[in-house]
Amino acid sequence: MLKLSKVSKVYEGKVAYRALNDINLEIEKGEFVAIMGPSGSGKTTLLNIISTNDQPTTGEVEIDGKNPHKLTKNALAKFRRNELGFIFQDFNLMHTLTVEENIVLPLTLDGARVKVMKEKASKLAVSLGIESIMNKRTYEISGGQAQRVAIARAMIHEPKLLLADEPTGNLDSKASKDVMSMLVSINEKEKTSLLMVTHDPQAASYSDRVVFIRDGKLHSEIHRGENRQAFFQKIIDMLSLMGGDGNDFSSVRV
Amino acid sequence: MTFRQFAFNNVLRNKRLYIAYFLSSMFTVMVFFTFAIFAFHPAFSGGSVNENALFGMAVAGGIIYVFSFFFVLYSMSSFLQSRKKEFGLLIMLGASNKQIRWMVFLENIFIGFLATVAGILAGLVFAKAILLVAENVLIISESLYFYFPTLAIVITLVSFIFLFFCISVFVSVILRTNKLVNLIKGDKQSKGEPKASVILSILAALLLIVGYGTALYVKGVNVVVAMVPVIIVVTLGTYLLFTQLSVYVIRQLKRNKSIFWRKTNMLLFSDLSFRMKDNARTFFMVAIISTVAFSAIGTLYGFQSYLTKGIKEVNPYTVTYSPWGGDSEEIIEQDINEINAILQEENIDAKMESIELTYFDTHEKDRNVLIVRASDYNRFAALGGETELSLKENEAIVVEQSGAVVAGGPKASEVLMKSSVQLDNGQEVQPSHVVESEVLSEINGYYVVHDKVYENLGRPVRSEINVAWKANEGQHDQVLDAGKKLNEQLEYKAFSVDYSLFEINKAFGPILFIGLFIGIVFFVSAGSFLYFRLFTDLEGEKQKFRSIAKIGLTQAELKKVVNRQIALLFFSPIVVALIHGAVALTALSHMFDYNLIEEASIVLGSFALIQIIYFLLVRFFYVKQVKRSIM
Repeated sequence: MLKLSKVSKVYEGKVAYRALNDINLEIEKGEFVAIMGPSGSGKTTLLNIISTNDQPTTGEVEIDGKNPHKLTKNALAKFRRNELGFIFQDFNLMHTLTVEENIVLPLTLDGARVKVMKEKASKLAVSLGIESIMNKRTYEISGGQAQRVAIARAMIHEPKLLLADEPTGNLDSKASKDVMSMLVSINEKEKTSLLMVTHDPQAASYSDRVVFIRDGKLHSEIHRGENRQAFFQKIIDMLSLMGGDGNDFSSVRV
Repeated sequence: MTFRQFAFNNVLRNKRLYIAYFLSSMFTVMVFFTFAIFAFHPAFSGGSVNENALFGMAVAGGIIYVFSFFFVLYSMSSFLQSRKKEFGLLIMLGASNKQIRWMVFLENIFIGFLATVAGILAGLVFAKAILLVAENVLIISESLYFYFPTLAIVITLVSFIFLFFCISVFVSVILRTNKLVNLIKGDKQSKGEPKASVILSILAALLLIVGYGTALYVKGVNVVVAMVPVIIVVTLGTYLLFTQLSVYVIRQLKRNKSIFWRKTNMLLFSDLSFRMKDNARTFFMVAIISTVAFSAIGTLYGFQSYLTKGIKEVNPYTVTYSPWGGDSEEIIEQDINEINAILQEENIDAKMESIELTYFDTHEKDRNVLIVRASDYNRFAALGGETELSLKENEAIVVEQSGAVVAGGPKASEVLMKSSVQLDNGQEVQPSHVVESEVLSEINGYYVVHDKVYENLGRPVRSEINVAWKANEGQHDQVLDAGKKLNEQLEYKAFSVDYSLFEINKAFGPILFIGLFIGIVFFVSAGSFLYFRLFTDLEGEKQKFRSIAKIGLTQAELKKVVNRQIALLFFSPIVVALIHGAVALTALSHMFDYNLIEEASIVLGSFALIQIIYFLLVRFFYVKQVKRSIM
């Protein structure tokens, strides 16, 4: 589904900075992968390259057999809104639009029929529990609701790959849990591949596999077993192994 | 860091944010200053320009000053509007209302002072150019040389420092900082759409139709009577058009999902309705201000052309001579010789024709009619370059001047057509048709008859001599000089068209220039309003397009949305203003019964062209800015 081979990113400047170094990563169809690592490790750079917001300096990215970085700007825009879905830490909703309009926006830009858009939006709204706020404006809803709207927007065109950047970063633990279980259920039902960057071990524990990166290099990865609680513990252990004390992260989030 | 330092640094380190406000303030100062340079020019204080023109200039200066006040006030408030969030943050950090007012006051004084100084400097750069333009438009004998405008500098400096002080006090007093939550959410919360009612929307359309209808229907002196009510009705109609009718239309469009949810329409309309309150106000102001500019310039230009074109049409000859009633033949001969001498002095090649105009009795008492021999008429027609007439025997043609309409009474030709030419032998010759020409000057019209018929007319009641000269092309300057001499030596008897036109233009020049100046000031200010409207929202727009670009927005789509958005902003008020202006100028042409289509289309067309160029420029920079932000 997604394949990165020897991806490197160098930021030019007075002192060139190598943000990513020979990253190889593969994600299967329907897999849910979380990327973790300390601040400045290159997580966001990696996500930007995958989400085609940024170009890799060397190396190849393949999404569903295609290299999006070789597309023209316009084709890239179309590729983004047809094949990819995005969820952001700060939701990125348009405040001039209502919730419903925000959800259907990707389809609208593509010129879908109104009836189709309405149906899809209401179906998603029911499954995400936001049908009561469909006509509200974005500043009238809470953070958890806003992130669910953002998920709905990311899902409405049935993308092959869903990219999430700190989706729980702005939410409390209850809202985080809700959002994560929604992502998992989408992942299971629709067989959508999911790539998530996060700081939050709790959120990461919902994934099938956690990839750790440090200093721009792949550090290690751990797979989820049967038990989510045990997986969570393993993630905490790995984080403390990578940098600092065992209670560093748990005091922040859990 | 003291509070004062904070306020100043806030401006200096935030240049980009303040630059638009600074530039528009500088622009107003510059306009006032260039006008002052012109008005206080030493050439005018000598007394060569008449009192009325000087008074007109003083009034114009006052208008520009008052307008500057409102313009700066508007720029200021729209600038403060975009800084709501910043004020919210300051209040949250514990700044008191008093402190924020003090900060706004300090900032304003600071920017105002800089803008005044910069405006004067920029004005000095343009001074020579404006004086050159003025010299050419004004037709004054002395040249408007460049001088160092000490008086203009002092006056501009004092009046604008005063103006900025007043505005700073005013703005800091009315600054409302009541609800913190609203301030913080300021950029996300819509000010809402004005309430759109169907009744008021219909009323808007009705008011405009009634206003236009009246303006187009009334004729002659009634135009003046109808002017004020029509202006009020149309202004009200325009206001309702933008606050009600347009809101109503957008609502209906938004409600229709198959239109609203079609591709980029959603981005466009949601944005329009989001800012409807601000937009409506801006649109209204821009439309009205532009209408004033269009009508003022159109009126002045049309009036000038009405005066000069009229004279030119009625007088096809270079010089005409008609003696007083009591002049003896010797005096007439002497005068003609003098005119010929003057023409020779100036080296003018001119042909001369003279005619004895003979008036005959008619059926009616106390009414004489001029009857002209066909050969005489044709001689003059050839001289003036008009079409000659060929007549059969027993035919008479009625000739009337196209420009000469006797107010109130029946047209000259109608009276003559009903009557007939009586011959000595008792026969009558019926007039066959009417011709309009300026060959001979007679307000009541006249008959042209065949030479043979003329022999049978009998004795004329009275007769007068008329002489005309026509100079060859391309001797304009000499003709002017000759005209001046003729005017001095044979005033009222000899008439030189070119010299009269020169005199009219000279008297009219200052008025035209002042009108043009004020019109352009208004028009450019309207442009700045639009610019402000656009760039106040620029940050929000960038944010918006950045979020959409992440989802995927092609360059073409981005361009399409931005293009339509700016086009709507730029052209909807201007199109309304152009229609207003066209109606106003049509009403004006009805008042004078003079065709102004050419003048109106020149004025309105050039404004439309300027607006299109302005649109293209702004769009180019705006798209560039937005594109750069989403890269």
